[in-house]
Amino acid sequence: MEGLHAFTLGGISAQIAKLTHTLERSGTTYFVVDAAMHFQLPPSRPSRVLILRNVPTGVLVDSTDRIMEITTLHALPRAFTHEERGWYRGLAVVNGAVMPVVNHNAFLNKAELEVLRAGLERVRGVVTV
Amino acid sequence: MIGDGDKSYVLFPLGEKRFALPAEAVTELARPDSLQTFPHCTPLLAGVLLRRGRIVPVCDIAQVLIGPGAPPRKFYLIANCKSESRQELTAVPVTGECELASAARAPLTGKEPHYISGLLTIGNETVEIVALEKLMSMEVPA
Repeated sequence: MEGLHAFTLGGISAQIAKLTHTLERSGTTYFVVDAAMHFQLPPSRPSRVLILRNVPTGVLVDSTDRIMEITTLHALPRAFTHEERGWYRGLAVVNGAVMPVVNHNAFLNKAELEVLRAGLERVRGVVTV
Repeated sequence: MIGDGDKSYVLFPLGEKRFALPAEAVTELARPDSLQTFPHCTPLLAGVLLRRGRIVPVCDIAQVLIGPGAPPRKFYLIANCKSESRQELTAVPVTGECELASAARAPLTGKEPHYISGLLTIGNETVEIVALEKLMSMEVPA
């Protein structure tokens, strides 16, 4: 949890309320999303940041459990019709327990990342054409 | 006695009332399994069941049909529900034993909600036939 900075960037903070922090790692700024807010859960006490690969996104989570290999991904039943269709890639069954497999691109979508990059460049005084 | 035009229905209880689903849509009546939940925003969906390796969504229609004071659900009625162009199993929690009955549809009065597709008269009882797919597509205020 070290190195987290509260995210405040004009109107963007209000637009993307789940984006609560930034984190600098190896010259890259990661935008850190509160997973509880993303999944519309009650506020929690996060203790870990997951840094995602290939996207400048981090995710605040309460804890991590284990790393495991999933061989079969079941489609999310069509009865689920709301935001969760974007949140999850599908469902996995692990030892009789059904677990949603998260779509990591949904924490911050492309449009949100573009807005954030532009905002950050503006703040840093970098002129973009 | 089964008359001409009679069809089979599964009658299921929710509190004091009974409702019906076409028998051809119902696949089984299951004992309560462990309901598994994860974050989602779809109204009426309580979670999923794992039945014989299949993931079955659980749709708690009692909150719409009889309100929030429904007694504890004892069984799951598992039915085929048409979703867009595909059939999908859906579990409906019910509050007691179900019954298979044959009856002819009585005409709707016009006052029923859109998710009631017909009426059955069984003795002195009028039983509403539930259109599960219409009920599930309802937006229920939180």
